Amino acid sequence: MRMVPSDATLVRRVRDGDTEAFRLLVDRHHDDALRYATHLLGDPADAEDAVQETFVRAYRYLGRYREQDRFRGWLWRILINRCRTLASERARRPQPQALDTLAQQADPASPDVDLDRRLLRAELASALQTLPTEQREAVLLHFADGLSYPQMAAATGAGVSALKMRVHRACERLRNLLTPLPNSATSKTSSDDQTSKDRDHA
Amino acid sequence: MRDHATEALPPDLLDALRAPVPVPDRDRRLDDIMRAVRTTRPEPRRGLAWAWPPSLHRLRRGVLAPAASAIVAFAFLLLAGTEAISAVFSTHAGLVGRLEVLGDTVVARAANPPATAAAARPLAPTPLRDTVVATLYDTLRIVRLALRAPQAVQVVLAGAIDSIAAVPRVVTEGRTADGRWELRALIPREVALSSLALLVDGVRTVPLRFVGRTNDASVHTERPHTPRPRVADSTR
Repeated sequence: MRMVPSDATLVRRVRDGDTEAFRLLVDRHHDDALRYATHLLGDPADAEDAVQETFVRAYRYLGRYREQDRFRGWLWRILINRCRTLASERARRPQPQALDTLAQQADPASPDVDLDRRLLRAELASALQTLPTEQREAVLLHFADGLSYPQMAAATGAGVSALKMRVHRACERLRNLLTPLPNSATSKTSSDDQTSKDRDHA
Repeated sequence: MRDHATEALPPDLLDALRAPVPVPDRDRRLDDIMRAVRTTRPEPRRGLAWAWPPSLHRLRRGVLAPAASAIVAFAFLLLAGTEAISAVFSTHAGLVGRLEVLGDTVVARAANPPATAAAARPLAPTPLRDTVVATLYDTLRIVRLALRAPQAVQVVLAGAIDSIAAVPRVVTEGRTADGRWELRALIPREVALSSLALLVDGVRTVPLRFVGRTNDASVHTERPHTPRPRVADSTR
């Protein structure tokens, strides 16, 4: 059985001059980084740029990485900062038609992907873009990347209570924005519950 | 404890959030990233933190850091025992001096003359002034002695006077950043000073202006001592 080298082992090899070991790190974290950047920025081209820039910066500043930290958390700090920079740059230039690009990204390799699921992803991508950046960041880190609140705090620099509030507000907004799909019983039930709650409040 | 936020999104939304983004031609993208990486020059490592295996971090913080501090402190104490360091750090070492009895006179000398190299250094001390700044009880006067000797590491007031009790006693001393030395000494008024001088780095180079003079009136003073007017005895 072949042993899979840990991130720390690969980092040590890269520091010792083995540049190709960095490819294994890129291969390991690329997809998650791209998912985060795509959801956060809403534009696959921008997301690709952000991810590439993140890995280049990680390689350049690998000397600053301390081994008691998780490599993934350290990498995510770079990614978050890069995405923030790109988001602020993008806010200053005209917005491309990016909201539906995720929906158009049908995977040609798996044509039998459920249409409802693809539609849900498209709606989710659109709904995410309506969130403030910090709420989007929080909900992605918590739900998509599975970071705990202390890990999120370390990655974003925000406090735990602030992050909880951002996640809470983002969830409320997403629930309100996303219309239930016909075949999605769970989301329909959840939405019905929310609607009835709203009615009760009214 | 259950995380309420996790329950706030329905499972299909969570699945949609966690679903990987399709990456067409993934290998080509990774090649592009690696091409950019290869043209990047890594920044040199910062410090030696990377060299410690994670298992030794606690040891380094808990045991090794205090041990290193103790070694540094011990080395400092060893260095402080040498003359060079003590001359720099001990402000009163040169002023205490030692007393030598020569016949019926007592001579104050520097207890620890600095190293020969320092003594041989060319010095250009310039006496600034020696003044009587106060008179105490008609028997003592506080004399302020100042000179400029930027390169000196030790300035001592030394003198020979005619009784042990009258040895000049330095009460304050200090050195400014521009090389100005200032001492205040208690000197008996009535004694005859046979010699009084400043030893700069162990060498008697600055004879004081009132050396050999016993008359207060001849001392350079800012507030010359004026003899107390005699009160006429009206009862006579």
